[in-house]
Amino acid sequence: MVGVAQQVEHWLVVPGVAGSSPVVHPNEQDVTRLRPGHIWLTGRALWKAVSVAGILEQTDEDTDLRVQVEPDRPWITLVWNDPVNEMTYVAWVFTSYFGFSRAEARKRMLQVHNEGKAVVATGSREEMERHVYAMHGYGLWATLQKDDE
Amino acid sequence: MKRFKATPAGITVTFTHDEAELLVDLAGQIETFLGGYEDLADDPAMQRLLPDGYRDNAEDAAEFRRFTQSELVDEKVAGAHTIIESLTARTVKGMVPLTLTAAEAFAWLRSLNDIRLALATRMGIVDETSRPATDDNTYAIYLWLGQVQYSLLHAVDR
Repeated sequence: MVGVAQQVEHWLVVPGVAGSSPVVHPNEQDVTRLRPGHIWLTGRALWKAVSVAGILEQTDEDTDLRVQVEPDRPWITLVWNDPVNEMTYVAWVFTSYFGFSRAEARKRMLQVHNEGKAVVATGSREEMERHVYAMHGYGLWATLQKDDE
Repeated sequence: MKRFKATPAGITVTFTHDEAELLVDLAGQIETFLGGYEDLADDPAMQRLLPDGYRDNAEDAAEFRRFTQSELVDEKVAGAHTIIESLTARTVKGMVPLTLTAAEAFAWLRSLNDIRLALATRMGIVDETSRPATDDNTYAIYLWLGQVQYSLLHAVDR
């Protein structure tokens, strides 16, 4: 069974090492190279690692809990309609944050406006959490969930 | 207010002294309000500024909140503070001329939006046909803020 310290270290370095690089202690990482939003994701990952380790220590068997892997379904970021945000502002958020073309941003903005919501991103849970956080920074009403289709 | 213009020196605008005072006041209110986010978690305006990240899962929403909220508050407070700093003590003959950097304009756009969201919640604007339940002055300010934001957006996003 892997110790808490090792697990935590593993979690902390995952976003930076992309699989192949040697394990780097978090303190040795160049924090300024990390993207915005990374720090709190690291915090969340750290908490996850600690609680998983805590659960494992309460059981006699240390094998079963690790197979509870979430199904391999992507997560989505949804933006919901609201009566306050201006249409031009929402379209600007989509171009400036997601890098959509003006036409694409306008299309998704109109989808939010007319259908009540639109999917603006698909990917891992951590990525979607970062996007939702960013949307909240802009004042858009965004949530993430598993893609149910 | 004269409309925002993109110039080689930055994004320029001129507010009247009264308009500048109003913006400083509102940005200060948002700054103070956000500072109380832990005690005011049930306030609808706070819930609109700091919404749930998960719609149908209270546990995930609480966890997300736990790891994002204070940073989000800091970001929003810094934005409001940018508005205040841009406008403080720059009156020239009753007018307040400004030149914003791109980063300041970015903060302005987002913070103006926060102020509008909070005002709209206070006025009971819940859908696109809502008309305010408060006095006309607040609604007029709300509409004016929308125009300020719109003008700035056009200067930024050309």
